[in-house]
This record gives sequence, structure tokens and C-alpha cells, in this order.
Amino acid sequence: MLGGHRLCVTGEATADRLMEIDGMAVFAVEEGEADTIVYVDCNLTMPECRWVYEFDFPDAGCRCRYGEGKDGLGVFTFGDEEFLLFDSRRPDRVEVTTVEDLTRLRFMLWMAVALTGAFHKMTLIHSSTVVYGGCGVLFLGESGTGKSTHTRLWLKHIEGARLLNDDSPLIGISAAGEVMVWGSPWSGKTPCYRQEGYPVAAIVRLEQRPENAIRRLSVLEAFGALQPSCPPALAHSEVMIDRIVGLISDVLLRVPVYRLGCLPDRDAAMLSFRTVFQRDGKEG
Amino acid sequence: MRISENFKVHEVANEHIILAPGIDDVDMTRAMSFNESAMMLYTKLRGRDFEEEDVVRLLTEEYDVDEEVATADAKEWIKSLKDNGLIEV
Repeated sequence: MLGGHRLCVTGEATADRLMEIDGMAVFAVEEGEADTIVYVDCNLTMPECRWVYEFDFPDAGCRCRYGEGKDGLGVFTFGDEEFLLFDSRRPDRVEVTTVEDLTRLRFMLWMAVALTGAFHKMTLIHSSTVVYGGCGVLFLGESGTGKSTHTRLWLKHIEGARLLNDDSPLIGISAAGEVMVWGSPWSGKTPCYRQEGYPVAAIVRLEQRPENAIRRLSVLEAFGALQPSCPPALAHSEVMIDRIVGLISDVLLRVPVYRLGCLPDRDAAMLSFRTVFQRDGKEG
Repeated sequence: MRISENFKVHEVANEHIILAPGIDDVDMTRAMSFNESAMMLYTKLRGRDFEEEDVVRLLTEEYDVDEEVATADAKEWIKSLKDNGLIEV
């Protein structure tokens, strides 16, 4: 169960191997009617497509590519042999070849969730997320800008703050129309796996600066803050970008987005805390 | 001049946001938003060649402004589109 959606991976052998992946078992639930099905070990032919996005994946020892074929078909590959097919006309399913390596399998699933989730008003967002007072606060920023450092300062100095996820939580609109953030099996280098969801209080984009200062962003600025933290492959696909933009729009109507220029210090954490929750918290 | 076909206007939280696809990274420093009059001009002028006079005329027709104000606004609108690579000359 991911972000309130039930995802089913067919093929007992692969399902068992999935459970070997760190953090995956936390999200396992009993069988039931699935919102999305991932068919693995399929015999697939790579369709003709235009490659729109590529990146190197050193941990998996390969170069990944995302491409678009005819009629809204999406293809994600690790090299030529292992790949995933997604048909945006049937967004409840994904087909995958056999993927042996657990690192690749883990990322394949991430891609499957990114593609299908977009049709369920949900996506993965690159952030470090804390929970306080029953609400989630997401910290965004380029890799290395200090998201994890900042959330660690929250945990250290703000009584009652907890970490929900340190790299790639799920964000989406619930059936009740609330913006929610959920834990996920993808938490980067910090093994923080929580099968929990919370309404989002705020989103804060971090930048390293010589002084701590925070301000609320306009719609255009907030869009610019959120969009780069969504799955990059989706930004290069016309079909998918409409979905992601729609989701960002829904989020911006309900959730304030701030830009925080900061130092890696306690004052920065207190500034973001006070701004988001409009009050002084008990300091630890 | 004409408005480039290389971008799309998206409705985001009740504003019109322009994204230019087809470049290597979605370069957010080049994104811009259209207010109501900019959106009106875009809707009426896309798909055809036009001159600054056409922009001025649309503004005076649509809004209760004199030609001097409209000319200044027209120049500003054209410049902002050019600065963001959205006009083909």
C-alpha cells in the first residue's frame, strides 16, 4: 500500500524478492483489489520510441533512459534488456521484463509508482519530510543543499518532531481533497520507512545562504520550487507533464510554499518551524 | 513577428503559467506567468504574424486605455516574450 493506493506485483518469485529490499516489507499488506498492477517477468519487445531523458545510475551500473512511443506509450530502461512499459491510456498497469538486480528492481518500482501515480493525483517528491502536531512539512532542494541536515535540526531542537522520510515520500490529494504526504520504501541513505500519511502544513525550499531568512512564494515561484523536485523523466513527457502540473496546481491552491535561505544551525530550524506553525515551540 | 509554438500555457492555481518544453531541462528561470491582459493578447495573436501596432490596437479595443498607455504596455508585453524566447521574429 503506497500513499493509500494498493499496488500489486504479480509473480510470486519477484514478490518474495521484493521483500528482501530494505524497507519494502513495511508497506506490504494483505491481498485485495489493486489500484495498480505491476506485471513482472513479461516477455516484452522494446517498442520504437524517442528518448527524452537519460541519466547514469552508478549504484545499478547502467545508464537509464526514458522514452515516448506512439499513442502515449512510455518506456523506461536499464540498458537494452531490462525495461518497463507504461501505456497512459491504461494507467492502472505497468509491464516489466525480468529484473534480477535488487537495486534495479527497487528503482523500477519507483518509476512504476511515478508513472501510474500521476493518474491517481499522486507523485514522488524529492524531499526530507518531518511530522509535527499531526502535520507534514516537506523540505525541498538540490541534492547536497542540506535538507537532511535541516530536518535533523528539527528532530534535535523541536520536541515532538519526527522524521517521516528522508528522500522520496509520496505526495498527493486524498479522496477528501486534502494534500497528504506519505512515507515510502524510498528513503535514500536514511532507513526511515513509515506506513503513515499526514496532511501537509507547508513546503519549504532550502538554499544555502550566509543568513537565515524565509519568505512565502508567489504561485509562479512556488511552481518553480516544486516542479524540479518531481520525477524528472515525467517533465519531458507531454502526457505526463500535464498530470504533474495539474497535481502541483492542486497543491498550490491548498498549501503555502516558502523559500528558506539558511545556515545549518538551530536558528534556521526555529525560523522555519515558527513560520510554518506560526508560534513558538517547546525546544529540546 | 509571431508567437513561438514551442510552449504551452498551463492553468496553475488560478494563474496562467508558461512552460517551454523541448529544452533539455525544464528551465524554471525561463518560466513566466501571464496576467489577464497578457493571456488575452496570447490567445488572440497566436498562430499568426503580427506587428506592435496590432498589439496596441487589441489593448485599446479591449481595455479603456489611451494609445500612449497601450503602446507602453504593448512594448512591455513584446519585450517580456522576447526575453523568454517566446517570440519568433
